[in-house]
This record gives sequence, C-alpha cells and structure tokens, in this order.
Amino acid sequence: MRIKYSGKKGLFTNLMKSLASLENDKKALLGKELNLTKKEIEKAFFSKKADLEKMELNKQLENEKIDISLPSRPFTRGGIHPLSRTIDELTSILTYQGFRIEEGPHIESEDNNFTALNIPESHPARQEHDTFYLKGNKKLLRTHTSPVQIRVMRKEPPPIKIIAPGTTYRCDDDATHSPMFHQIEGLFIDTNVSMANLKSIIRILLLEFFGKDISMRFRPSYFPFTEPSAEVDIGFSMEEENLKLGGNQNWLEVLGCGIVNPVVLENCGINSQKYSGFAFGLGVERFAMLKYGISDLRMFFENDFKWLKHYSFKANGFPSPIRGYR
Amino acid sequence: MKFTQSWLKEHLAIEEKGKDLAHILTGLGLEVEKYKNLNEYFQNMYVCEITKIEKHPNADRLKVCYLTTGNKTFKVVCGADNVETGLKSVFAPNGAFIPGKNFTLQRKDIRGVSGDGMLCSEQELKMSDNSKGIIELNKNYEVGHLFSEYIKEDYIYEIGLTPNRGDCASIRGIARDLAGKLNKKNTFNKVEHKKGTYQSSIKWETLGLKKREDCPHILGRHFTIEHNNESPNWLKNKLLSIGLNPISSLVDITNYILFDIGRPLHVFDAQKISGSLKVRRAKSDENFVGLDNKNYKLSEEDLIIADDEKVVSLAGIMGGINSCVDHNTKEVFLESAYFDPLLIAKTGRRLNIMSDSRYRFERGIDPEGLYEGLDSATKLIHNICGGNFSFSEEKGQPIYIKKEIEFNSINFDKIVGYKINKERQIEILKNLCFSVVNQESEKIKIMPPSWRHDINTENDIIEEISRIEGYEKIPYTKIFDKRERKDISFSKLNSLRIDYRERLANIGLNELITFTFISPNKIIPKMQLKEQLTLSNPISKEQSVMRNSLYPNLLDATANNFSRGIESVNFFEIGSVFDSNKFEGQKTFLALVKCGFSGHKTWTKKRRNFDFFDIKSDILELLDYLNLNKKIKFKRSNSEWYHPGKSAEIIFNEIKLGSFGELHPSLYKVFNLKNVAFIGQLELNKLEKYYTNENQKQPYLPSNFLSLKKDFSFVINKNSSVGDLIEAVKKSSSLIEEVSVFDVYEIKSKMNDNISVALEVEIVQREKVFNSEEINKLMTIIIENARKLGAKLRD
Repeated sequence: MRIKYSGKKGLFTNLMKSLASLENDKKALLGKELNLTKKEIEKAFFSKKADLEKMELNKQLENEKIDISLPSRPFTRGGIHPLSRTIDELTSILTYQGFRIEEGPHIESEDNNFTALNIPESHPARQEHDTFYLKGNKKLLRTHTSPVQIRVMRKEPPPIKIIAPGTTYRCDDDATHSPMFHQIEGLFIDTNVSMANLKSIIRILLLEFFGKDISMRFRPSYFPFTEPSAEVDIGFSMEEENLKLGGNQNWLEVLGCGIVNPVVLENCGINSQKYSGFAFGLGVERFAMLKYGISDLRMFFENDFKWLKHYSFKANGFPSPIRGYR
Repeated sequence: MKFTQSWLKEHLAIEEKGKDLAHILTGLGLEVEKYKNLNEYFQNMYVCEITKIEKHPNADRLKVCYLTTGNKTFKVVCGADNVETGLKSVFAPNGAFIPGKNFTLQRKDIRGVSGDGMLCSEQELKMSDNSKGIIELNKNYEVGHLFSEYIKEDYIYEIGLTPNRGDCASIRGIARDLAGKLNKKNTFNKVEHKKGTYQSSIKWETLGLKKREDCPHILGRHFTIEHNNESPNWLKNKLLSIGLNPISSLVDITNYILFDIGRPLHVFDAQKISGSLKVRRAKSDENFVGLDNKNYKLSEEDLIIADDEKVVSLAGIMGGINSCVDHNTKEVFLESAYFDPLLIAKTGRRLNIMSDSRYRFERGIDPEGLYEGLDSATKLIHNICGGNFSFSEEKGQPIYIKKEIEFNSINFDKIVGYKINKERQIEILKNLCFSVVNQESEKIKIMPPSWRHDINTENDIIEEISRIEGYEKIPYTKIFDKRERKDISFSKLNSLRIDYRERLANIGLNELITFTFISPNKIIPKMQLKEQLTLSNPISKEQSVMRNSLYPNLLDATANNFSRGIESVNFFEIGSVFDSNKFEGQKTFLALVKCGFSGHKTWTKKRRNFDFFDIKSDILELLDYLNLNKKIKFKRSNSEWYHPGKSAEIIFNEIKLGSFGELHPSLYKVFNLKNVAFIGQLELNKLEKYYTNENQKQPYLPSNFLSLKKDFSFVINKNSSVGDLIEAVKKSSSLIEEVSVFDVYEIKSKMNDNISVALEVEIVQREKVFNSEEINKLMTIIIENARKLGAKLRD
C-alpha cells in the first residue's frame, strides 16, 4: 500500500511529476503542500505498521506460552548411606584431633580378638560376645574393633594415636541387634596419658558430633582390656514419642572407654611402666540413629530404595571441622 | 540383679531413694537400668467399705457389691467368698493399673453387669501370693483415704552388673559398696554359729577331684525337720518383691540367702541319698537329669556331686531331680561350697544352663563366706521347719590366699589426671574394707577383702579410688600433642573410598551397605566356595559364607526393590570381599548395579532402559578420577557373571583392575530378576596406588582460533572394533583433540555384514589457521590410517 502511494512509481511521485507542467510559484506552493501531505501519510503509515507488528508479536508470544507448572526435567540424584556419612563425620572429627585411620581384618584370631585383650577363654565377658566362628581353624569374625589395637601395638612403638572404623559381628539377630554392625575404635598410647585426657577427647567428639547442647556423663564400668573403665551416656528426654537429646532426664549409653590395661600393653610388648594410654569404642549405628532420628536399626541393611532416598545424604562433599560437620 | 529399698535398708541405714539412689549406684559402676516407686501402683486406689451385696442376676458364683468411699458409691462385680457388708477393702476404679495382673482395668461387662472397678486381692496388688479373697482391712484404715497412705513407701531397682562385680550379686554386696561411698557402717548382723547335736550320716568325699582347686572347701549339715510347708509370709513376700516365686520353705530359704548375702546353697533330700557324697569330676558319657527334667551328657570337664549310686548334682549349677526336696521330705542335707569359677563357667556354657547359682559361682563368690552361709541357713531352717541338726561336715579349707598389693599413691594423678592426697586414698580403701598393711612411704601396701577377687593390680586400686570419688571429679584436660603432624590420617584407600562414594552419589547412584555373609548358593563361580570362609554357627544358611563378591547382595537388593514396585535401580556398594581367611585375602571392592529404566518417567523424553554403555560410562567416570581412563584397555571377559558378548575386563599395564557387563542370562533365575541388569566392579586395592594428592596440572593454553570439525563416514566389518578405528584416527595428528562417534548402524547385505560409523574429528588450530591444502593433507592421513584397519570411507 505504501508503495502504491509513496513508492518510486507511486501516486505521490506521479503527482510531483505532474507539477512540472505548472507555473513556478504555483508549483512551489503545491509541491510544498504535496510533500507535507506525503510525510504525514507516511508517518501515519509507519505508526500503523508498528502497531500491527506489536500486535503480531503479542499474538506470537501468546501462542508460545507454556504451562510453567509442568514438572521440570528431573536430575537423577544418588545418595550416600547414612552409616557411611556417620563414619565420615566421626573419623573427620577424630583425624582433626590427630588420630590416624587404621584398618584390620574382619576375620580375626582368638588371640587378637580376646586373649591379648585380657579376655581369657572362660571369662564371662567372652560369653557376652556372641561370636561367629569359621569352620576349620579357630578363626572368628571380630566381635569388636579392639583387635586393631593389638595389631597396631604389636607393629609399631608408641606414641600411637589411631582410630579404627570397621565392620563387626555378633550372632545376635533381633529388633535391636544386627548380626553385622559397625564400630570405631580409638587408641592413644604415650607417656603420661590420663583419664582426664580421655574425657577431653570424648567431650570434643560428642559435642562436635551431636551439637553443643548435649549433656553427658562418665560412669565406672568394666572391660577386661581397660582399667579403670568407663561408659559414657548422653542425656535425652522424650517429647511426644520423639527422642530429644539434652538434659538429664534419661541417659543412653553411647560409648565405652578407659585406660588401657597394663596387661594388654605388656601382651603387645609395650613397657607399661613407661607408657600408658586410653582406648575407646563406639557403635556407629547408635550414633547415626541418635543424630538422624532413625528408629529401626535393621533398616540400615534392608536397602529399601525409598528408605535410602529418605535417609541418605546428598554428595555435598566430605564433612569437615571447618564447616561444622553440618 | 533386682532389689528393693526396704530390703537394702536391712543392711544399710540409707535415706537416699528413687532417682537419687539410682544416681549414686550408677556413679559407683552399679548401673541402675530401671527403678520404680512401688507405691505408684496404689495411687488410684481407695479404702472402701461394702454397703450392700446382691446376687448376680446371671451367675451363681458372682455377686454385685455396692461400696462407698465416703462421699461416693460404686458398684462392682466380685467373685470372692469373703465379701460381706461392712467389710473394708481396697477399691481400684476403672483405669487403675493392677500390678499383679499386669493390666489396666477397663470398664467391662461381666455377664451382663458392668462395674465401676474392682475389689482387689493381695496377689492382684502384688503384695503377696495370696489370691484367696479380697483384702480385708482393719478399723485403722479410714474409708475414702488413698490406700497408698497406709503402705510403706518402697522402690524396686534393677542393676546391670558388670562381669567383674560378682561381689555385688547380693543385696548385702550392694549395701557394702554403698557404705564405702557414703562413709557409713554396714548394719548387717553376724549370724551366731550353732554346733548341732549329732553326727551326720552323710559325709563328704573329695578324692575324685582332678585338682584341689576344683573344690577346695565344702561344708554340709544334716537336718531332721518337723514342718515342711509353705514359707512364712515374710519370706514369701521378700522373694515376691524381687520377682521370684516361692516354692517351699526349704527352697525359699536357700534362694533368700543367695540373694541376701550372695551365698549359693543346695539342699538334698537326705533320704534319697545312699552312702556318702562325692565331689568329683564326671566320667565321660555319664548322665545327669537336672531339676529342669532335662537329660545332660557329662564329660570329664564337669564337676559333679554323686552318692554311691548316682549323680545328684551338677556342682554349683543345678541340683538333680533324683535327690531334690519335695513335700514328703523329712531329712535334709545342706551344702555350702566353693567351686572353681572356671569349671562352673565352662560347664554352664557347654550345657547351656543358666542359674542364679552358676551366675554367682562363675563370677567368684566370697571364699570365706561358707560358714556364714551354713549358719544362716541353719538358723532359718531350724526356725521355720523345726527339728534337729547335726554337727557340720567339712572337707578342705578356704583356698583364699591373702594377697598384698603395692601401689604408689602418686600414680593416681598419673593415670586419672588429678590429685587426691594419700590420706584420702587410704580412707576410701578402708571404707571399702581393704586393710592397709603398710603406708609409711608413698608406696602403700594394701589387702583387698576376701570378696574382691577382681582387685589385683595398681590400676584396679586406682579405679576403686576414682569410682568412689566419682568420675565427675575427673577434669577435662586437653591432650598436649607433641607428635609432629607428619602422618597422613587417611590412607590412599580411605581417600579413594570417600571420593568414589561422593562421585557416584553425584552421578545418580545410591550407596548400599549389605551383610558380608551370603548364601553358599550365591558364591559364583562355585569353586570359590571355601570351608575356611564358612561360618560354623551362622544365623541362617542365607548368611553363612563370607562373600567373594559384592554382586550377590546388590542383585538381591535389586530384586527386592523391583518386587516393591521400584522400576529403576542404580546402586553401588564399597565393601570387603574375601578369598581366604587371612588379612591379605580381604579385598576392598566397589561394585555397581544398574537395572530397569534409566532415569525418571517424564514427559520431556522417552524413557529407555539402562544398557551396557551406561555402566561403561560409570566405570570410565571412576577411572577418569585417577586419570586412567585414557590409558586403560578393554578386553572381553570370560567371567561366569557376565554375558560373554556384552562384558569387558579393564586392563592397565597388564593388570586387571575390574570388569563390567550385562548379567549372564543363566543368573536371572538365581537372583529372581526379570529385567536386564548391568553390573560392574573395581578392585580398589589395585587402584589406590594411582590416587594422588598432587595438585599440579599439566600446562594448557587455549587456542584463539576456530577449532575445525570434520565429519567422516566409514564402513567397517562387523567383527572389527570401533575403538580401534577411533585410536587409529586419533594418532593421525597431535592436533586432533577429540574424536566423537555420532552414528553407528549395521548394513546388511548378502555378501557380508558391515557397520557404518560416522565420526566427527575436532582439529585444533593451535598456531595458525590452516589452508585447504593443509586440511586436505590431514584428512588424507586420517583416511589412510583408517584404511589400514580395513575401514572404507563411504562415498
């Protein structure tokens, strides 16, 4: 349309051409008017065009509208088992305190698991460890991570400062026991190591892991491989069926520890006159259950996908003291 | 170990109770697992008076009683014979807990009549075992008052004893420890020794012992008794209060002494014994029928008591049915002995007999307590059953060796970490009945009491002092760590484990932790099933062999989740597998399983199933972490786990690092799987050495020029490998940075089967822009290299 009126061969061009036949002053007057009219028409014309384009775009955008409530493209996210994460947290706290990680075999000798730890064959404590034995020679599945103590002490001279996270076994299978579970052992041997040092490390461990407002108590106990021995409880209360850590309403045992029995040091060829040390052992499952509110021990090993989705951890990096272990 | 506050008070004047006493006991190392105020039971119950009795409309033996608690009237249905108008008794309204029945009373229809509660018997309130009729209260009880106001306050405590504290397996033992802590005197009375009036016809013989320690000392006494009935109420109630059932006066007396002073005793029916009583080792294959009516086959490791004809008791563990007292018993022979704790423990464990007597003998009883046990029992039997008793029969003598232990009072600070002066240390030990032999220097010589066989070393004594002072007094003292921090806390294996876990979780896999023992049927290949890795006492056959692979549990978990409706499984586990029972035979593996749909069901794209190349990419992702993915070679695997045509071994420097592939078709039945599964594993022990903490990277400068991308389409034989083709193309020039495969399809013809492979080659122009001549030259080399492998360029 624009071309019909204002194009090179358009109406206005023809009219301008036809002006050439008129006399000069009339020509100038008419020409001026004609130009003005042309500009006005063109102006109206472009404005109309812009309007039309805008309308067109709006129409297009309207057509391109999507339903923003449709589900997004899902990531397939995996997860880290809560026991792994708990071990990571605990070992991270302890390695920051200068402990080195050691490992030992699941299949142990009676000597490392019992005898060297001052648990002779007829000791009542040996019966409390419901032990899995292997066929043939008298090997067994370790009932605790304490044999790693023996292995390390027989291998290297003090000072020794190790932790040993690992799988442990007892033939006990009910709602509150799993035949396989996990422990973390700690051992520190040097000159002048005392119960007071032990209490300090345990407090750091528990506060860092469970948070600053938990309460704890040390009470005398008995383990053949430590003397004096202690068990550590943390306080909790029940709030509408939910366990809440803190306070001194009720106590829950979380850890056993003590001064390494000089008999054990001597069994490993360490001079008990010169050196002393402490050891501790804790159950990883219990720590995980308390911290993360997991009520059923057996579910750790059921490997139900939906349970894992719920209780697993995203891969957000290894816990570190700097980040406060979250 | 259960006891009541009132019983404890017979041995120690103690005011602390309930929570406070529990706190003190736990602080001593006698952990109170439970305690309960017994009066709580009676808190809803009232003294009432029966005002009217009617016959039950529908039951002859029941009555409908109306009763008052002063201002309120209630109706109850009652079957007791002793109800009468005007009788005062105990009324438990609906909602009250009935301790003797262990239930909470609910409103219930009894033959068409519903009551407001019940009238209680003594047994129902756990006050005695008397269930005959309802409680009859005298005029001192005022109607409308809470029944608990008239009951003496009492608590029951339950202690978890540690194995070393056999001395506290009695109420006196607990009182003794408390007395030490609270600096109090025991109030226990010494029993008077009684001589007896005649010679016992039954004698001890100890010739058949293997060694003297089997039974170093044994006492006995003969009784003729006049009454052999139920125990008196005080005795029955004592036993009931700690949850024991009264049996007969003779048995109840021995039980009472066992719990009261920790002295196990045994009574034989003297008329069932022929000849003398011999303490001896059993003969192999000798038989014994216990009080539990079970037949036990004995060995020479068992200590027994036998008469001229038969085994009458498994020493220290259980009496025999052939010599036990019953309601016809008229003559009794009492035994008070010391048996070797180790023998008792071994026999008890082998024959699996748990008894209160064994519990104490194997933890070590007081070797000096034999006379006291005999005298206490004599007094009670004589008082309750009447009759006469003999002189005591004795063989051997106390084995107890008085041990002197020297300890340095300065070492308390060294071991515990704070100071207690020497005088206080001695005071504590004296309170615990230790005798001090010598205390002139810092080194103190002391002697523990006869019942503390667990005290042998300086550390034992230090523990005694610190537990009486209280562990809460031990300060928190930071460790001054003088070691240099040169140790790396995490081993390479540990670091690898952690990093791999994070990485796999990041790319969508879920970590599992499974039992390390599996079913022998799932050991693949079969020849790897080894006896040395088989449990001799498994919980079940399904959990009886140490695993040789992580695969079985991953596949089981896959099948279990599919059976719960999960359609996409993407699991991994990092754990130990075993090829021998030695430490070297324990290997750390990482394994993956992928099965079913890859990813979620979504509207954005078509859902597909996991395939071989998914697991291959996971494996490469892990190898990439160690910068190995470009250096490794794949070789076809012949493992029984995999489909032979769809599996690979990962080889680096001739060493197999792992393998992966599609599960062998024959194994789907074994693992109850219906969907195609892909599995892969890496041996982390072989990978750990490639783990590096090196931060430095190879230098790299990006090019400023456009990178060229050229497409090629080659035809190769079906049996040749695309991997080789890519390698050949890559080595054509150092300027080739990436070779991507973007299309693969089979060309079927009658002559032979070929594959068409489309490649995109990325050429980096590092220093300048290439002219067409240079590009053509490079492309010719690429085509020529491919041709050498038998690949033809498609027209």
